[in-house]
Amino acid sequence: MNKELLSLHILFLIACSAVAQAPQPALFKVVPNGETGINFANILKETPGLNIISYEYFYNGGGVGLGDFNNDGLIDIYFSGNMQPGRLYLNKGNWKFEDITSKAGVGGKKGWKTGVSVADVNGDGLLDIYLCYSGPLDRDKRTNELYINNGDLTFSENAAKMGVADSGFSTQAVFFDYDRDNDLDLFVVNHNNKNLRNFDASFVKKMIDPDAGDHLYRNDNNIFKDVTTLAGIISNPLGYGLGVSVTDINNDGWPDLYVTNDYVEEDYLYINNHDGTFSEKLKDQVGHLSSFSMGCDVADINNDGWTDIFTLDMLPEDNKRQKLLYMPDNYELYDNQVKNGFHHQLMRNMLQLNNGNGTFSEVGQLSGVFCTDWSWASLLADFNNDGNKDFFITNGYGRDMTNRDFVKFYGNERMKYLRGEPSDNMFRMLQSIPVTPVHNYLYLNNGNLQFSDVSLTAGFDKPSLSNGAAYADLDNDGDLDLVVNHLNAQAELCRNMLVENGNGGNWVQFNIKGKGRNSYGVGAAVYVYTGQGTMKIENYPVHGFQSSMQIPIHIGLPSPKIDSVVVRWTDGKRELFKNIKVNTTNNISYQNELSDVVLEEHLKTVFAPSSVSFPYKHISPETNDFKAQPLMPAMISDYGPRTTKADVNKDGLEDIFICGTQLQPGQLLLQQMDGNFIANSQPGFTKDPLTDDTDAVFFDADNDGDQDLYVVSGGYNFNQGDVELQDRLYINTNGQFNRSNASLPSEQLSGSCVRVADIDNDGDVDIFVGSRVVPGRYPESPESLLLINNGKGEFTNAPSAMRTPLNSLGMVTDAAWVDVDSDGRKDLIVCGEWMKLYLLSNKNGTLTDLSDQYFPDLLQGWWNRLELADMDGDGDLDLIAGNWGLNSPIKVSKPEPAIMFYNDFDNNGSIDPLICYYIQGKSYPMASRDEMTDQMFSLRQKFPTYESYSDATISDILTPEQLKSAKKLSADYFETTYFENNKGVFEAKKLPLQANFFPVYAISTGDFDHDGKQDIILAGNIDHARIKIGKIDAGYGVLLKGDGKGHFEYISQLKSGLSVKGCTRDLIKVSGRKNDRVIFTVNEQVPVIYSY
Amino acid sequence: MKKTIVFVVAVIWVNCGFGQSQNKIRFGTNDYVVALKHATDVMVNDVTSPVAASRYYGYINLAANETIARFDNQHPSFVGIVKGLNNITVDDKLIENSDSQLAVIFALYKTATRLLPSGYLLKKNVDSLKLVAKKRKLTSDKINATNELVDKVVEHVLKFAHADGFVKLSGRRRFTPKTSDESWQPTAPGFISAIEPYWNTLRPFILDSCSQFDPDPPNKYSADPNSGFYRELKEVYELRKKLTKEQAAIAMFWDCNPFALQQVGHLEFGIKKISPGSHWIGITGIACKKQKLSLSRTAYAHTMVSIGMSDAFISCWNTKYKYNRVRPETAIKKLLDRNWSPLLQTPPFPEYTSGHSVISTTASAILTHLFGDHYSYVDNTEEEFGLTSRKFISFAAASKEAAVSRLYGGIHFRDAIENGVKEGEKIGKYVIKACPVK
Repeated sequence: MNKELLSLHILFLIACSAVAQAPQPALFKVVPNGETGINFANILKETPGLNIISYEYFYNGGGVGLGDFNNDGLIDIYFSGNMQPGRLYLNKGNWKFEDITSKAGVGGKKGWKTGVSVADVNGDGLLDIYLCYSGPLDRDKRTNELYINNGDLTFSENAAKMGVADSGFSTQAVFFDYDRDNDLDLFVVNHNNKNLRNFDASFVKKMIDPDAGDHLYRNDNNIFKDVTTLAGIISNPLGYGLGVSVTDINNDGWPDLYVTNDYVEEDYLYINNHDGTFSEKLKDQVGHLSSFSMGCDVADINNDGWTDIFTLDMLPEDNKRQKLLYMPDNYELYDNQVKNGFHHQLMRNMLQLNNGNGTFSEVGQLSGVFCTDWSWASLLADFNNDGNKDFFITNGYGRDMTNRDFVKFYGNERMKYLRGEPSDNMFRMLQSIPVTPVHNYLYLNNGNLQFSDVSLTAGFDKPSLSNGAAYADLDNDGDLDLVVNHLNAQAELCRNMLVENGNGGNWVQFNIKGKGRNSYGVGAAVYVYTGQGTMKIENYPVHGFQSSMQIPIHIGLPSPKIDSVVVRWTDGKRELFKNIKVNTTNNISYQNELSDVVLEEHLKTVFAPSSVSFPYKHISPETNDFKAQPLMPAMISDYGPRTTKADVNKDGLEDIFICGTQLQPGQLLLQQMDGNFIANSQPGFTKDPLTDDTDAVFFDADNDGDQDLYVVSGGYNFNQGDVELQDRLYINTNGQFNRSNASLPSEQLSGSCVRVADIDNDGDVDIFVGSRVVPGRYPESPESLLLINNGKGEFTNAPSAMRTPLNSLGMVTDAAWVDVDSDGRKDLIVCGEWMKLYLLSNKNGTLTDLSDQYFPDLLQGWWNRLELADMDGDGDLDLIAGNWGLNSPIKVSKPEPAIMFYNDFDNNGSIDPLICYYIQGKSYPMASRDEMTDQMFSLRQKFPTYESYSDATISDILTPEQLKSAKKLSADYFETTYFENNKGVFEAKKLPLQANFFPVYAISTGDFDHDGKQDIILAGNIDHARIKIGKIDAGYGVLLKGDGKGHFEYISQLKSGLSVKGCTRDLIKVSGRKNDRVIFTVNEQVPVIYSY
Repeated sequence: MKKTIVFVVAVIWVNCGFGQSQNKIRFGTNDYVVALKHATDVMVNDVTSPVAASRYYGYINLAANETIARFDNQHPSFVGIVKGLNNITVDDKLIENSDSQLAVIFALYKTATRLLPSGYLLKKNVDSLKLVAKKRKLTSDKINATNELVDKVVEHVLKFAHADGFVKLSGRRRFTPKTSDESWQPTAPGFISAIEPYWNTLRPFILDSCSQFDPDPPNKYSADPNSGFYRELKEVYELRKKLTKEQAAIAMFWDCNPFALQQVGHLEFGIKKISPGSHWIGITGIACKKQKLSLSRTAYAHTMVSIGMSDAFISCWNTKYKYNRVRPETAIKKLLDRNWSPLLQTPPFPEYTSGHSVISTTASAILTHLFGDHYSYVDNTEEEFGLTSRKFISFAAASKEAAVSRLYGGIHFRDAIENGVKEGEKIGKYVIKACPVK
């Protein structure tokens, strides 16, 4: 950073702190209903006949519909109420509203009202209202209604006549033109009213249920025809649809659909096939999803031109409610669901970043928007006019149904107490369940996928139960106001004070007039180009939960100048607009004489999939390390397959060895002249007992000029001292590898890595073997090994004085030899889980710990991998170190580290690893009450209830003596980092955020884009973390383009061409005759190969 | 012939023998049964698994029994009979200053308080017991001395309990279900992981080992309609269709599910009932009260039944995880009807042998030994859970009904019940033979 920049930076910091001190006016202000004339409250009356037991969506609340029903330029408001008539309020301007419900005749019939969809359904230029019905009622009471606008603020109910009186249990409906014939078609999201959780879900999945399943209707001249089956829409009884979004997810010009489902059924991602049908592709494109998906929204949140998806779930933010409400991890249930086709579902909000290549990277935890309690509406819109879409989230549930104390203790107590009054005992029990209103959330998007939670300062500090919500510029002042429908309380209008606070930012609005009966141009996409990025918004009115807003397109801008605006119309035609001014509202209508704007030219990607033959698939036993130690953060067993390469048969071509597992021996693959690989049978490998190999290296052990092979045996599912943990040395004789039994000292440590170097400068190659863990006793780890070669390929343990620092390194995962002090002897860098980076200096063959000197930042991480290369072209080797990443619920920093306290606290012979990390400024144990008391039975007496454990910290759990005797490991840094070697000191430098989307297990460097500068590929992911952490799979092979000076830029997946699904565990570059290739070896899969 | 002999022995035991020398009755059988019921309530509250409950009953009653034995050297002590239980030495002076009857009730409460996860709930009972003792004319000195004495005995028993392998269970590898068709699978609605797969590593009270009375192997899983397995599978399936009201009532009466999970949408809670062991502890109490047994005999009877059941559970759990057999629910869904569900919720552990069959038979053998063969009684233990009382002409009739109730409930095959009964019988006999009588 140069000086000028630095001082600017300091100024900025001062400015920030000054701002922080002054009381900042709130971004939103509730306009009192006394002033507005709004008098609507969605009041629920629980009765013995109608309550959460008779109707499981009793507390889902009502919706909001916004649109200009009288075309006076002011947005009017419709509220739906579950048990009472809806209300239509006419916007009279200046925050005054008039209730015109009776005159308009849009209160709705008797029944349970849910979603509101505002659209010009019949294409007469006037907005109509489609109202959804559900509830535990007969079919005729559930038919949805369509109120057609007569143009005089009266409406006529016309659903049956037009064929849209859907009689399912409807949540929401959405109008869109899926067949691009310039009229609006209809998709209705339904949900089952029966509880199907006890049934064989995989069986039920194959059935059809017209009441629970979703429906698609095609508009044929204003008569709608049910085309559900024809179009390939899923309509099974497990449909518990709670949300729907329309978007062109793959930018092919055709609208696609995202539908959220509660409970076991996964969400649906319907890709439009352009022929009137859809293909459901969710499982192909996302790695995991919300479990109890509720509302959802779609928007381009990183301004890359691709729509991203945000789904809501029920995970509370604070420790106490997490401990009280979170259901226990159940691996059987989880596996059962995955095996039966319900995919990986985890209970938290999911932010799915669209990679543009048919894959999504879920980064909700990295962005910090993953836990907003029991959440309904998510509205992704730019509330502060800075060009980035912010997140508004409503939440709150009528009762804390999943309170663990209620489940385990009070439910039964109440039932017992009420026995003898069978008619309404369930009802009365129900009323004893606590209600906990929670504040709504507003996250401001800072760009770069970072969000600030401003809920408490932006006017959303009041706890409430809130469901449907919508935004619109109600006072036409250039910012988006909010309308929120509360449960059992008055609905609220939240006025955006951006302009009033003198901080209006820049914006532009568009009134869009479409073609034919699609009068509002639903489906048009507006791209606003500025010097600071491109903003894209699609004109789809349904967002959030049970709500819709057919309003002018509002786009906040990062700059006061618009370069140009492009509209992509529903039929795919594009139109360019110049001279659009900021802070104006513009009318845009479809011109008939448009030509197709040529799509962006076909991208040439850095990498291309390679078709070379590589006959190998990784197979490893299905294991669950958590069965042995449930409190570990992640499984240790899925570290494979690791590889090593060398020309073993002296044909000038690099060959590859892939480590073995307990189900398959190690495999040698020989490269052929044509670049293909063939499997090479080696009896020397196959006759050994099957082991879990964690690493291997080719080197010349016996100084005979060919490549011998050292293989590390490791793994977790062994007993201490098992012979399967003995490492092996295979001597190469004319390409045949034979185990040399006597040449290694006996050892039974579970190793992680092997790295070779001539450490004593005697002309032969010596060995370092990293020690990972004592099987079954995480986080204990034995001493790592240093093996000295006698020149004949026979190894002995180095004298203990030479290897003192190896006693206490910890759980080593990787190491590298490098001569950092240019004394002609290689020094050792070591990394590991819960470890800082070590530099063990080699002084005449003796290792000395000089870590503090070389890695002065003392960054304690969950490091997985090291790679050395000269990235800045200064002639020394720099370091790239792969870490756990930032996309997990565990957040750490120097002042707020994660700490593991471990010992056999209850003297039962097993290690109790208790991990604590900070939530909202305080360190709490990760384990739930059940997990903690199952680990140490004695704690059952200390914490008899969930409530008693819900605030417990480590000092409440352990006695002072136990705490004193506890061993501690700490982690304060999870970022995968570039360390620039600056005269022997390794300086930590940040990599682009995408480097931290996932735990990095494999790193490769090279000039992949042939610009003469070194680039980096990072890969990893983890499928088997604790369920509470969940699958982290946002990485598809990340290419970081280097500028040759130590700076790196993320190249999007679309441009890099990388799309590696699953858990990559190693990356090998192979040079061939034709081209260079990089091979990703993936856990439980066939390797993925690219050429470049 | 043998039957008669047992009967005669039983009658003699009931009508005379040890424990008759107490001059004044301050605390009697009723207090014992009530105190034990309080402990049962805590176990119900904690959703204690059936196996864990049997272990708790074993130590709680053993502590009570050994407390009496400190006062009355005629009282049969289990020292030297229960493996590893050493002599409990208490100062003579302390014995002299204490009240034996209060001590027994104290011992029950205190052991339960210390052992049970929510044992703290019993502290109020201990306090009120002290008040009652005062009301019943015991001096503070006497109460304090009794308290001190009981603490010593309880400490001794707890130390003994601590070494039985229970605390090591939390360090063992959790059970992983096998995927093959013949193997047990987690079942709806909770898909709870199999409980206590290592219960066989616990030290039994009386048995030599967990495998001492291994039953014959179960019918081998088969999809062949002519196989024994398939026939019994079909039996469970068909029975569900034509189940009589009486059979359903029997299934419900002996359900003894500590936590029947209820799920309505997101609403989830458990309906709790006593577990099988608690049910038989209840029956023991009914018999003791009906027979107007002395406090010391009551303690002895409860101890024998509870350690017998505890060992029966260890034996049964060894069998369960040895064969790891699939439940009817899983196999019927696979082979006969994907939408089938049993009348009772399937318990979360392997099927063979039926735990209720094993432990009910052991308990009834011991009760028959103690109270006689044709001992009729009314079982009202399940009344508090809304179930009607049932009348039985003998303990054996009751245990037979308990066993077959699992067939009616759709959670066990016939061979698991019949072989379970045999397993329970053998254990009962062995325990009876081993138990001290003076």
